[in-house]
Amino acid sequence: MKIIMPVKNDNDWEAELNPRFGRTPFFAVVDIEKEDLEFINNTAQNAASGAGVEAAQIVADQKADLMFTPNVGPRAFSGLEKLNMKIYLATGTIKEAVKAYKNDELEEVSEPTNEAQHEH
Amino acid sequence: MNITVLSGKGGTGKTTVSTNLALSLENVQLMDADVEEPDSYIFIEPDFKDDYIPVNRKIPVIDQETCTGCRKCVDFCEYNALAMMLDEVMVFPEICHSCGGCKIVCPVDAITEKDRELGKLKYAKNAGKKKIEFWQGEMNIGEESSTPVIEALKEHINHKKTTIIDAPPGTTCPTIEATVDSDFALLVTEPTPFGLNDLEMSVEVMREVGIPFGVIINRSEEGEDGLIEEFCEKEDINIMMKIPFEREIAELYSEGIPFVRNSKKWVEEFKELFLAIEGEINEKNNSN
Repeated sequence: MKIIMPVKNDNDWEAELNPRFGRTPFFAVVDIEKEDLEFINNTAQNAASGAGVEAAQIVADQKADLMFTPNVGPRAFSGLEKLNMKIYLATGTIKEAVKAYKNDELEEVSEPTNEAQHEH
Repeated sequence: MNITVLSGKGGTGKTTVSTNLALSLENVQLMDADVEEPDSYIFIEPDFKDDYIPVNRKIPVIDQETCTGCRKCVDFCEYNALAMMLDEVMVFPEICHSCGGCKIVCPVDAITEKDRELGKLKYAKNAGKKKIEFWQGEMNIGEESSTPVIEALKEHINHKKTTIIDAPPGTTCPTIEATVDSDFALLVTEPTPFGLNDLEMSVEVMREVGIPFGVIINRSEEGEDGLIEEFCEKEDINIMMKIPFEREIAELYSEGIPFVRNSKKWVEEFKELFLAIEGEINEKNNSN
């Protein structure tokens, strides 16, 4: 099972989940069975506009089964909810989030958690 | 003649200057281009018509049947207004800048366009006691891009009148859109470090767009103005007016009363300001 998470850095399993979904510098992609972890750059980080949409596109292209995130804005959410991917609220490190999921402690997201970020 | 009133910092007195200037002159058209929160109407008291002029922009409509999922449109859109979710192209209308590029790059003609209202123009041809021509742009709630509303507003500039535009605060696209076609810009500031910082940014923008400008110090106080005066002297910028930090002016403002209403002295001051602006424009035209 493949899980994707916005993270603040690429510090292995200790990397912290990022509350800024659209402009996070990296996404962590975890294969939970193989205990495999890789990081991908988020090219939306410096987007002039629509970072949430571009980040959602990057997530969609990874074809993950699950996403763990502290936040997801309305536009990213409206894109991501079309995918065959469940979104769970999580914070802390990658390791902690995976552990919380295995212990069935994460809550599934059914609506956006925050407002769209305004950009000029 | 077209004069835009702007400021880098919000709340420094753009509306105070634009409304009082407009009310002091004859044959005036006042446009409130601060479309995120227009408030000049409070001082002008227009009787708006019930109907308004909608401001529409085109947004793409994707025919999912015809779409082959090639993603050319998604990759083309610099603003990320399109995304490919599984086999469906999604449109995010608030981000779309209506450039029409996606329609052009689509190899199978799966994209058409439709109108979408993102704002309104309201107007009153003889507003208030002074019967000035008043226009106001308003963004619809939830919209993000105010520039199209300002563009639409400017289409109604009456060249037979003196047009005064109350610009949105800041130095980003909406402020520049409200300013670019003006003959002169009045930069309103206040004698505080914040006022100075944002004035410096406005000055930089005005020099970039090449519009002659002068400065007005609002909430002017003896012993405080030095901050702005030193900067203006160093940069060779004309301080065209000072509006004092006075309780009476503040009280009138809080009641929605323009302070020129009962003050011949201030009407004269604003008339002189206008003459000085004319002088600066002529000087610039002659030197070109």
